[in-house]
Amino acid sequence: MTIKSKKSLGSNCILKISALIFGYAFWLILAQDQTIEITPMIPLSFYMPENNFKIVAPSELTAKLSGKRLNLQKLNLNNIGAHIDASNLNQPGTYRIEINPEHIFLPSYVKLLYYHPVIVNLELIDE
Amino acid sequence: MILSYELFYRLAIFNLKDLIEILSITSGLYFFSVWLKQDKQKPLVLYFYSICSLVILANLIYLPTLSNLLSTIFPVVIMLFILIHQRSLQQNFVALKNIQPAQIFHTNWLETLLRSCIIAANNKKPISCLIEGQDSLANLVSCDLIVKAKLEPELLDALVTSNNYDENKMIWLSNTGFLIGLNTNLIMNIKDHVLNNNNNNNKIDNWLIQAIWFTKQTDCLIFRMHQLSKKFDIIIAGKLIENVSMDYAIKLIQKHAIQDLIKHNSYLDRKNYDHQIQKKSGQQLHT
Repeated sequence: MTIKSKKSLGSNCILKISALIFGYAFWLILAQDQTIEITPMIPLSFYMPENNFKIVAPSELTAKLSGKRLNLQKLNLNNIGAHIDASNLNQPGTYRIEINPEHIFLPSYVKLLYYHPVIVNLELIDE
Repeated sequence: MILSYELFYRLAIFNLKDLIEILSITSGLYFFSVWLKQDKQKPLVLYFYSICSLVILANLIYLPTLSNLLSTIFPVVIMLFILIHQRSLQQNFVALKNIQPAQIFHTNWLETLLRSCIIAANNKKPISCLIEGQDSLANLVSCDLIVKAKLEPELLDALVTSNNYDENKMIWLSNTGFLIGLNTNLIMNIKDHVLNNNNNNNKIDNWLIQAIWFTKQTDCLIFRMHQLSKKFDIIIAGKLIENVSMDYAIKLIQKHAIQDLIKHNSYLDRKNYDHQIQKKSGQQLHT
């Protein structure tokens, strides 16, 4: 080993960065199989083929998800959402829609523990 | 903010607890590597991070047996690092046991001291000395001028004749002929207590009362020389021996200060010798 490489390894800045990298790596190895919970905001979207109405409804809901840390890391929050079929609503007015766990599309390795709100008020306004 | 949240999410850091855990492990690794870095003989930091890399690589590329093996022996490896490091440190700087240097007794130091006493008396300077025994007096006396040097005639003469020497205070010596300090006072607030018991004896001054009390509590010896008569007042074990001649003073001081030390050291030597003999005979019996 050359003196230069010895010096670079020995400097405190390098030691700090190395400790951080290795510390994170060790933590990840030890914690990857832990089951943890996260509470992301899930976008709420409505399916309506005839787009003659303006929809007034909450844009997202809060969900508590559980799963292994490694699986939750893989989960892309931009790809998950709650999809509600509103194609049978033809008249303007206010509707109470109950959101079921089936409406929230999640990968099989993630478990849905809780979500809020369970019932949303959907208002259709004629444009 | 969104970017940092996204970054933490990608790193599987979902809450503050995760961050605390990572920072704790990082701190531990950092301080351990800084400690390993202190070993100048071997690149222990490089070895340590090489093994860490191996553990992480085995986990990354899914080598379950190697990963388990490395995870199991990792604490042992850390212990080995500590051992290697300590050993090199011990070889370089620290001894396995406290080595006490052999004490060399200068038997002629008493003559040097008394010679300086006579010179001081001729210069009309009263002189008094405190000779420390086996009891440490470090917390029992206050010394204005710490010297800590081997007693040499020129040194003592120079110190006693200097302006820094306070005639009302004592010269502090060890019983191995080591000059510890000048201008030494006894830290003992016993004046009132003892004076009450000595109301009848007004002839004894406060210095003597303190010296008697002090020598009663410790194994030290105190003496002073009268500048006119060249006689000594010697206080040993709470007893005052007044107006002693030089020859008798030498005998007394040798008996009480030096002989006790020689006895003490020969006792320790004998004890060590007996212990070695016992150890050897024990080994012989065992074999």
